[in-house]
Amino acid sequence: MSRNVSILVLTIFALLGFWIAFWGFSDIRSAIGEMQMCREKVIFDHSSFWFLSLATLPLFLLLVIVPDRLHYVVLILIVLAAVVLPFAGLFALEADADGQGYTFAEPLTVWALIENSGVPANDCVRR
Amino acid sequence: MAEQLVTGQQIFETDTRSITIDEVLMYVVEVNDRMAEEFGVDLTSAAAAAIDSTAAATIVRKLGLSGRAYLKDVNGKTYVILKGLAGKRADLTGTRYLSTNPKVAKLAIGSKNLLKGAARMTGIAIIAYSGLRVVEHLLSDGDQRLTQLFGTIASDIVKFAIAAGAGFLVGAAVGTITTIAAGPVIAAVIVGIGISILLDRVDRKYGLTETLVRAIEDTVDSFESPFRKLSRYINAWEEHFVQQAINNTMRFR
Repeated sequence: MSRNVSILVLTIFALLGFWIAFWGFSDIRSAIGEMQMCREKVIFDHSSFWFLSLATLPLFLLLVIVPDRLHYVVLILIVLAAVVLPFAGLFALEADADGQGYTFAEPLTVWALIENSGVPANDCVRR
Repeated sequence: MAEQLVTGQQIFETDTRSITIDEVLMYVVEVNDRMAEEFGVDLTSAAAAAIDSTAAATIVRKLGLSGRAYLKDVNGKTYVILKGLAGKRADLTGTRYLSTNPKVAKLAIGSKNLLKGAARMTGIAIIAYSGLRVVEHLLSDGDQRLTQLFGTIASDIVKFAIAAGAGFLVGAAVGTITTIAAGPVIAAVIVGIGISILLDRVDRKYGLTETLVRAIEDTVDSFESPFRKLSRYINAWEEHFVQQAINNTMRFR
């Protein structure tokens, strides 16, 4: 594979990564929004947490512009971001679920790629 | 003493109990189903992710995260060239190894090795998915059609192959722009797992597997109708000939 083709492939996957990460982000944001509105039932798919990991795909393009000796730093950054981002999403959602007193059918976790649903506590206050 | 021949029953004997092969198969299918239900990841996908991650970990362990390596062809032979301080590496103290050398043969360095790895994993997935689904089909209580079995296997394999292919593409692309040995495998693992999760979600959301199964069923049914018509004609002819034979017999009596 030539360098130009590689850059093209990485650019395509970077765009795909952006789109998937945006999907995950908007899922989490809309779930948080619904919880703040005290909706009767909030449905959320746990795979959205891992979609955030794919926001790291554009970072592979950094390998093209960063000097060779720093490539390992970029890779460490990518691996860390790929692991940390799903947990960040989880903590954001969990914090809001706890704040609004939502109870989910299954515990919120990054380790299960399932569709989950939550119901609010009786004293849920709209924010 | 007469020997008793029992067919279709294989028993594993342990110190405390004996288990039939049916029970073992049931157990494997149950583990697979429970994993898919509770974690959304089946046994094959989990094993593939674990094997890929182990490959990345092996490279990092042997060469370090900043370890550099690339393939070079010299006089028709492919060598793995290792860059950086040899003293920092525990096992691979040399700077050049023939690619078939056992010390480096298992390291996924270069796009050819990545492709080989992706192809091998897809092969394993084909066998694993087919085996699991067939056992599940045979042991299921419901009256499932074969089209359901073929559709599910096809969907599983296509999803796996797309994820493995995407992982290979990005891994090979990263391998072209960096000499960091672990780079391509790390990229392949992240993309492979990510695309696999995406395809699973898309399948669940839009019911792609069910659509595929229905399409196969419709196709099979459309093939089935002319055959049914033909069998009706054959039955009618058969009845006609039998009736004719009876009539002829009665006439000559």
